[in-house]
Amino acid sequence: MALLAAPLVMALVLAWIRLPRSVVVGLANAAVAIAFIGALLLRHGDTVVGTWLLSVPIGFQVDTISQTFALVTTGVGLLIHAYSAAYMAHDRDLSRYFAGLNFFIAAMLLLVLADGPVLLLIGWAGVGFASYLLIGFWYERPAAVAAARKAFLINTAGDVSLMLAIALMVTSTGQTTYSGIFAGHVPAVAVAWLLFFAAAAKSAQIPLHTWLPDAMEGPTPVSALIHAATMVTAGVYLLLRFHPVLAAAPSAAEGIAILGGASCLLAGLMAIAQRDIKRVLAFSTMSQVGYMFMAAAVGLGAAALSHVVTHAFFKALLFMGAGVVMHALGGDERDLYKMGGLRQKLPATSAAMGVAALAISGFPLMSGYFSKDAILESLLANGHPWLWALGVVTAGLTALYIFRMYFLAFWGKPRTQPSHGESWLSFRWPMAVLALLAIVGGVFVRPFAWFSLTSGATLVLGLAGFIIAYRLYALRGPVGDAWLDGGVGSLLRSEFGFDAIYQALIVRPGAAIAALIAAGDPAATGGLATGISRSAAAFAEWLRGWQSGLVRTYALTILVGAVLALLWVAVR
Amino acid sequence: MTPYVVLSAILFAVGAVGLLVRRDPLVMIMSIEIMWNAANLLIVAAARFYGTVSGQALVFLVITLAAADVAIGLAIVMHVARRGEAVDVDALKELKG
Repeated sequence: MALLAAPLVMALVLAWIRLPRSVVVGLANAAVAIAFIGALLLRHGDTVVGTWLLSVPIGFQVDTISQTFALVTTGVGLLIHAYSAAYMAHDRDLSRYFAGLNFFIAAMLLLVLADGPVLLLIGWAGVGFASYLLIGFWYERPAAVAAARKAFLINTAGDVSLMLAIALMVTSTGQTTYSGIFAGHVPAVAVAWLLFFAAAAKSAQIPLHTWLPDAMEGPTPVSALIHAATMVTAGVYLLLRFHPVLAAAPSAAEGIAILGGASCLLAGLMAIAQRDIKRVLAFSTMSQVGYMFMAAAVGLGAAALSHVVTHAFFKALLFMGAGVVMHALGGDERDLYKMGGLRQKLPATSAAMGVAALAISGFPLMSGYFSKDAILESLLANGHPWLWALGVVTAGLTALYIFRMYFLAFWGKPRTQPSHGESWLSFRWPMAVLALLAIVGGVFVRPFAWFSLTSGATLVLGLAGFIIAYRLYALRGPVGDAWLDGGVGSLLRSEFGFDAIYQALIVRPGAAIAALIAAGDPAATGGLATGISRSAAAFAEWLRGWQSGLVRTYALTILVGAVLALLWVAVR
Repeated sequence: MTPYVVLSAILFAVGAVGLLVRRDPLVMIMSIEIMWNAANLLIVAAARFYGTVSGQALVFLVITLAAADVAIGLAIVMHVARRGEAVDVDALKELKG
């Protein structure tokens, strides 16, 4: 399992050994390259390495699902490492950054290659921890620290849910491998819902999605790798891997698919009203993962897996483009209202972003066209017309929000002059590779179809979204957002109030309880502790009175004691 | 048997009272010796009465212990005397807790 060991060892090396900057970059990239080659060479089958926790085997399982995820993780991961080398070139904590990225790659590979849920849980927690480290990478920024904490807390809620699901499965079947568990009988409905909450926390699906937009405080390559291409699709992996459980609980699977559809649609709506370029992309990720959830929940694994792959290509590309824009505008400018007209200064980036925008909105013959239609067409064919309708409407929304972002950033008059153009070679070649993949990625799509009823419907709606975006934003810029000032717009801008609801229902009561405890604690716990110590001291004070230093008193005491002891023996 | 027990009790009481009422450490050590020997007397008497020799063996052990006890006690007394203080146990209470 060299592909797992290389990034893990490198993460430890980079975390503890101080190396020159160029060596750090080279080693980190080499480790991921090794992992990528290892993922290419994986043979399907099972390998058991050893046993731990008395009887749980440490084993790895390679099949189409895990190899696809491993290839996406290491392949897109390698491109993002290369991109990071330029993006983070001036950061003083380069080594810590790459240690985090390499650790993430290792944890993600463990997650997808494990042959049982126990090992999967370690990878699951590991990617959550890597995500926490990298969101809070710039720890001097209060917003980044708060976002990291929020992400970690919500993900931990998911981890607990996953642990409960695993406990249920392992205790009811007595097995710790996937094949063993699926051969036995598990309480499918309970396990399915627990798995969904775990997946929703990791993949930022309603109702546990609120951490993902905030996670954009992390460095942009991190957003591209963890919060767009790979980690947020771990929830999809979970649904695909535990498909037999979902199949045994059709009502739960249906409910999960509906929630995925809700995420798909609502996130598409929320993306329309964002001013922050990365938040647009975050909600877009949520929406696209919603498609995958719909398909994965109702058992359309091939289509879901196809969309995982193509989404990784174009969404990583979109984030890389956003990173170049932020760099060009002086480091950390994410406000779309302050961009505009960037296509003159950043022509290559503009072209790459345009390609990615076309791909995500399903322009014919681009990768997103095939994978989205694979999902929607399968949904329709398997008797889920309502989910199909949700997905088709969202396809129109996708075109609207992504081209709103594109036109606001790259068209119209410049509202901020870029301080420099697209200067670094390594910014460009990973983007060129991804742009190529975003165009031709459709060849990976199963089931593959050149055209269908669905593609007609999504094309019409996508075109409508594109035209609306063009009319509103291409020339007029931020003025086009005037229609959002009304009631619906404020609902979208407040992101349907999820954060406010969680603040009111969970955060504030939690803080109030904590305040109550903080106020009452000195009296209760503190009083108990000081009470014990004071009574011990008083007892000792009384006891020391006996040590008078007078030998004759001691003699008398011994005598009286002996007499009393004798009397006691005699009386008894 | 009874006279031995009575004599032993008297000896023990004399020693105990002496230990409690005198303040001279030399006299206190002698009182302790009397108490040791009261116990020894009772043990050999009982051994004789029951016709065993284990009591005599025990008494030999007690005699050696008493010798050690006296050696330590006298050493302490000599050191106190050399410091030039009054040899009075009530004055020696530096180890008060």
